Amino acid sequence: MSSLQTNILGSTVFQQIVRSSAMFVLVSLILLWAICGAVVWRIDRAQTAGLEAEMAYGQEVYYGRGVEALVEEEIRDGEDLIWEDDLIYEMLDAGTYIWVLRDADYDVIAGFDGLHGEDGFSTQRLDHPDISDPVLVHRAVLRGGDSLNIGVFVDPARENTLGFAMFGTLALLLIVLPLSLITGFAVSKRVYRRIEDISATTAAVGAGEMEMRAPQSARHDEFDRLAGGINTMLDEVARLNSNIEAVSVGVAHDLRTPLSNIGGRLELIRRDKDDAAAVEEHVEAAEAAQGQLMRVFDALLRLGEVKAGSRRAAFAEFDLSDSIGGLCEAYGPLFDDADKTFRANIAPGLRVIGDRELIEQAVSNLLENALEHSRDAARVTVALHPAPEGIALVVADDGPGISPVDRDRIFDRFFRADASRSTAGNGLGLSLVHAIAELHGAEIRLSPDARGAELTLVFKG
Amino acid sequence: MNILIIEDDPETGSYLQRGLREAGWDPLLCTTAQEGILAVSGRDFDAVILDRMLPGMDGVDALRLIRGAGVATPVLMLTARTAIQDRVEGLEAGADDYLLKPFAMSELLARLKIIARRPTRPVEATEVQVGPLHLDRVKRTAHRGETLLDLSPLEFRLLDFMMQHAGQVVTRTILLEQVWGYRFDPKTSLVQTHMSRLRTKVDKPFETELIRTVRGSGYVLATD
Repeated sequence: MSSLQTNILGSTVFQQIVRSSAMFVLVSLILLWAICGAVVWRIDRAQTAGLEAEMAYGQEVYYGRGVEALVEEEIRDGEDLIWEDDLIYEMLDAGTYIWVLRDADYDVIAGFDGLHGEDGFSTQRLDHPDISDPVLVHRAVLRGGDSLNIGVFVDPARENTLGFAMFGTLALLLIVLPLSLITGFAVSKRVYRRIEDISATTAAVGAGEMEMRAPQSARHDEFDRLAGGINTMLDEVARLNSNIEAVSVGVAHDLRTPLSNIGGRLELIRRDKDDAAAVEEHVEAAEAAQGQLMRVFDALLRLGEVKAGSRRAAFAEFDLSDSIGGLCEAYGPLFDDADKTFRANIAPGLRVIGDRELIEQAVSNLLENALEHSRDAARVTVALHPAPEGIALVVADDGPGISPVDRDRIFDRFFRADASRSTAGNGLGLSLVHAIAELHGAEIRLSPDARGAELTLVFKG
Repeated sequence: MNILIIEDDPETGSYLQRGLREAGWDPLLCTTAQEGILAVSGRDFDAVILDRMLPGMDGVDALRLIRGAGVATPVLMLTARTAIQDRVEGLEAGADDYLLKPFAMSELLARLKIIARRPTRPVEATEVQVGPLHLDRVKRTAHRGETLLDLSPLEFRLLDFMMQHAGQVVTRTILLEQVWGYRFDPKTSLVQTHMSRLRTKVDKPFETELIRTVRGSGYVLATD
């Protein structure tokens, strides 16, 4: 037996099929025999009851009017007291009763000599040259050792029913059961093949062949859905992988500059150790670089924390208008100093449930982006107002805006529109804003047709 | 000032000791929580620096024990950056402030000074006077000598905070936390911008400079 066959026989599908066919056959057998048994029982009951009635009548005549009357009325066949063998054929066809009355010496007084029996009911065969059909016999002993036997041919329906039950049993065991096993094997083999294709793919991916995908047929059945699901998952994993690679490269790049700054300054400190003023300057520059490192680090940690959702425990209701107002008050002068116009339009008394600190951080990131990335002498506006879906916060500038190619990626970690990374920033700001919005179930969108960058955060009410 | 340091890492411990000694303070270093709890209950310190992660006992648990024993000494908690959530636990357990590792010595000293003096600070006076500076919290006016200073509400709060901590170095981070209520570090020069506006109004028209920059640390308001 090949290993494929062994695997199929051991497969869950095949075992289930074996179990359910065995169950089906068993239940069918029980039903078959219960129905046939009931039919046979009814036939037996009817024949027994008939015999009892005949016997009661026979005894009534015998005791009431004597042997002769009984013989005369019930047993005599025309002229003959003793029945001929030929007469029995009629009985067999008509299903009527066979009688025999014997004396104490077991000699026949009248009736059919070939009918024997035991006390009460028994099934016998006639003493007859041709007829061997079974006969149900009722025997009773009468006065002075006389005995009366009444018999009737067993209803052929009884035999037919039992024959049918036997045939049914054989058919179920010899045809249905093997057939279902063969079908089961065939079905299992197909299922096994499809599953095997899929698991070969996952094994290959597990072994590092990331580009492998599960085969899909045109049938769109459940296996195709499974394969499709796995392929989608693998695509997502691949995308995340490349994202992680991009993030690693980004981290490495963003950390290298300040780290080499610190290294360089340490070297300069060694060189200039006798010049206190120079050392002070190097220390300050090193500290600034260290601060830059820490900010990247903090932003990453906070992003992880927000993404993990652990901050949700600190949610409370607070006055968003008050909070955004404070931020605008804090950032307004910075726009002045940068020769940019800043206008805030904040509807009072709007409250939300959330983490005030995180929301303030998100909005401050948006304001800093507007401050850094808008054109010279730009006009920056912040608006907070009730919207149909909740509360809308809009931070907008009037240029230069975000280029269409970058729109989909601005929320990715370490994504920076400036590919040379020559401007300040670490590319984490907007991804943190995005994560914070997600944590609060708020929607963040970039207005597609604004002149500059216009980001809207909608807190669902 | 007497400062108790409870810190198991020898390098951080000696860094703290050296820094505090150079600032003219008197530090005592304990390397286990048990030792530290014994020390703090036996002697009156001005402040305690408590590491969050200690061998054998968690810093927060140690703090609960200290507070449970009725010791009200101000505590500054040091927490790792990887567990920002810890600070809530620390503050709830009775810490007066916290600082994320790694930290700058200037930041630590500034914070220690603030918490060590906190209990002695008088309850919100309506008027404050520091040198020639006079602040009226009810009328929300500020004068330097006879000159009325035209301050924005934010600049007023900033000056108020500087006057409360006159003579102490206040760092950018402390100002962000205390004046703005922000626990994050903005990329931009938020504090510098507002501070330079305040200084334009407080110092520029006058001969002596009251608010001074402490290089690499922060600002200090002169008391004389």
